[in-house]
Amino acid sequence: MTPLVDRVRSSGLTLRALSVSSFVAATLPAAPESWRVHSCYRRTVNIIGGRGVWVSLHPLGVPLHAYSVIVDVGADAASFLCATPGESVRISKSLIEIGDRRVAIVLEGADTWDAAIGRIGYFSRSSAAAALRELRVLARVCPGQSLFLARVLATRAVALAPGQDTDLRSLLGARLDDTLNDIVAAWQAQSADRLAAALGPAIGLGFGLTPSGDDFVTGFVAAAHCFAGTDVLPGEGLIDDLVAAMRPLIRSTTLPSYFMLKAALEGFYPEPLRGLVGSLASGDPARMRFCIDRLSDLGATSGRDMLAGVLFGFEVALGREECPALEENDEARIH
Amino acid sequence: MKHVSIEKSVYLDSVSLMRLSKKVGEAPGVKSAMVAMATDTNLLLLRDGGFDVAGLGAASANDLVIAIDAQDAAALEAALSLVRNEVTGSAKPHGDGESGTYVARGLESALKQYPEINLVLISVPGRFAAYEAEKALRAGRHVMIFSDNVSLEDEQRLKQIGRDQGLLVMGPDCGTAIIAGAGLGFANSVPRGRIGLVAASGTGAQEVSSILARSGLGISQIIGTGGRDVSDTIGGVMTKMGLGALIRDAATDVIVIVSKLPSDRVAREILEIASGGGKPCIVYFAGYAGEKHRGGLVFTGTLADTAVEAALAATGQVISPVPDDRRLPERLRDLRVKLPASRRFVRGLYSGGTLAQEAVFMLGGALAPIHTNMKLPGTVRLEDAAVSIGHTIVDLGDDVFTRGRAHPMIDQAYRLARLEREAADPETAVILLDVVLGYGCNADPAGELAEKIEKIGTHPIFVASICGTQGDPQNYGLQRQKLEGAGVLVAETNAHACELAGAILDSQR
Repeated sequence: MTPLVDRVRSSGLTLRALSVSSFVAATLPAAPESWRVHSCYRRTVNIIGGRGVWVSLHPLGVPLHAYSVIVDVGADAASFLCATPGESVRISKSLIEIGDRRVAIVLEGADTWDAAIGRIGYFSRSSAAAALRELRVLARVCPGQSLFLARVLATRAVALAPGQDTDLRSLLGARLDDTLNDIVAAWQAQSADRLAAALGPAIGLGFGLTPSGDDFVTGFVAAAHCFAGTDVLPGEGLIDDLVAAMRPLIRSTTLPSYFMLKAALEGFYPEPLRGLVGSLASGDPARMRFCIDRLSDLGATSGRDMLAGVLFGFEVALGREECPALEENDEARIH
Repeated sequence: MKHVSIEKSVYLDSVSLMRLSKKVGEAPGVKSAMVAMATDTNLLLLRDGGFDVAGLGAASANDLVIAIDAQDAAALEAALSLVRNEVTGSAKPHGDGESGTYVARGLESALKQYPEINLVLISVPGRFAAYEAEKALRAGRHVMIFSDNVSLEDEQRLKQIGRDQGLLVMGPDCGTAIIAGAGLGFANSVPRGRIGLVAASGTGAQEVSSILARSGLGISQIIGTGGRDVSDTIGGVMTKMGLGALIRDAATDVIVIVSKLPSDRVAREILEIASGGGKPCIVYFAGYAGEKHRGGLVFTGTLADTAVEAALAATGQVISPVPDDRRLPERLRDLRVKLPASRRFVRGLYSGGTLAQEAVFMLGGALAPIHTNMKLPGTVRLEDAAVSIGHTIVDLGDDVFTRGRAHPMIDQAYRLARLEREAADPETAVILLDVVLGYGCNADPAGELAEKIEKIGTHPIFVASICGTQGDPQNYGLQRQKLEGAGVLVAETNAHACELAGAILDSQR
């Protein structure tokens, strides 16, 4: 069998898209436009359009983001599409052509995956409180590490063991603590501007291509989105104002992260995060656990940082005094 | 000495960035490091951390910022060199197709590339294992599921599919198998031979096959089934299929069954097949205390005896896994004399679950009550598996210890820390250990244990057995030397180790 890279180099290739997120489907132009390849990783090719639009191409097996297209690359995904940054791309709702038709990706016939959490009033105050308690238990046993998740958990009753932080990590932790306190105060004041100002210092903060702070903010906004219009957050004014106030702030981060935040502000989220919110609404602990496991596998720490954002969003929205305390059997499950 | 610099438009994915940051942060002489995207907030953070970000010039959020606080210039240069290598290395194109090695990215592509594959080993996080296993079964392949944390419902469903299609489903949580000479999972390097095992216990199969191998006898097949196979819910589906396969296998003369004690119904069904197979069959059901000969089958009480009986059935010769050591009684006497009276309890820190069970069954009579984290009759369940009480035997491969870390047969970090803690307990007389060798196991388990034990001093007494062979990557002889060099009393088998521990403690009472 000839490796994909050789087939592409020699004769060009037509591939089929398997799945397109609803966010991308709404973004793509009806008539072909000229975009370019922005960046390439082992399993991702990012392409960017002149009017500030972004699409990520992945093979099957990569978690879906709001701006994802999943491409059937057959047996050999090792050299995914062999694209190089700067290459030209022609793109429309029906076809993506990379490098002067070297690779053509047919979009017609692909499934459309709904990336929207939507403001459909998933939660009542009592169901949110029950979900929060479960979430707090499960977050503590979530595998892997995330400074953001550790800090959010440390704001609750169960203190973390002191770590061996370096100076920079301690500084990052202190910055985070300030941010968390500011968010709480801004939410209590029900001020969208203050809330955006409080979330701002988290944008672009921390490690990773999508810095941890951006993942945290994405999780937090997801929580806010699913409370809008419920008895937790009556009306949609606060979330609308928050989105408007945050739009200028998200430009200060990396491009992949900017597009993730942009989609989040419009209510579209990575599939594992959307799955978690759905599981919280279902109230089914087994499903929650499955979704948290899946979310925690996202990126290096992205999933866990998003989990921290969702958890903190729930705690802030419900108010600390109403946050259900852990019961004895919850503690037993943690330990 | 603080350094900060920018790499323009370098794109590393998050996993690479995190790994690089950690690697640089842990480099010798580095006090603190951050390799991250040069966002405004990260640059502010670095400024507040005392790094001169003002001198960086124009940096965008899509550049890479490298900040290192090192003890001296040499440490800084070494750390920077590390970053440069990683950044340059990551920029290399992937998949140039020149290596000649095909790396499959999924089951479908592997089966397409190599259609002759007839067995698929699944080792992915448990929550995905059932999905992958079902794909393999639907594609007509036998399956070994090394992964644990697969639900009982999934196991039942997969084994149903396997049975219907005549395909083996070894596992979930199947640590060891040898099929047609190929060792899978933790298997040991053993010669080919005429004795076949069907095992619902990975370390049990390893102990029996290693003892046989050290006596010069070989194995035809080890068919693992996963520990839950003999439960009432699963009904011993794969144990029965495995037995059938060994009965039909022309390369197998003698069959060995190694398992925890099944329910009456499952045991009856398994033994019925074994009795009617026309081949000698040796049965080790952990904790079985009935007659030795029943229905034409031979029942044994220890894994070592199982190997002895299998060897007898295969060759007509009696092997002696434990050689006569005339100096042993004297050495035991010396050890006992030096042991303070306050030290009176055994602490078993096992990496192999079946070996831990065997220890409980062997010591339970004389040293009752035994506290343990295993559900075994006649024992007291530890409320907190991390805290020993009185005589304690713990299976460190239990989920509670492996969450977020590798199995202790691979990663001994917890066992080493626990060993230190148990040794410091003034009531600990004997620490009982298993050292499991094999292809997938820790590269030098005895070396790690010996290093720790040497620092502990005279007490308590360490007793260990080594499950493995000369041909294993770790080498049985070398591992033994390391333990003996650290003053550990090394037994030939786990059963012998338990006898030695029992003898030391019995003399104290």
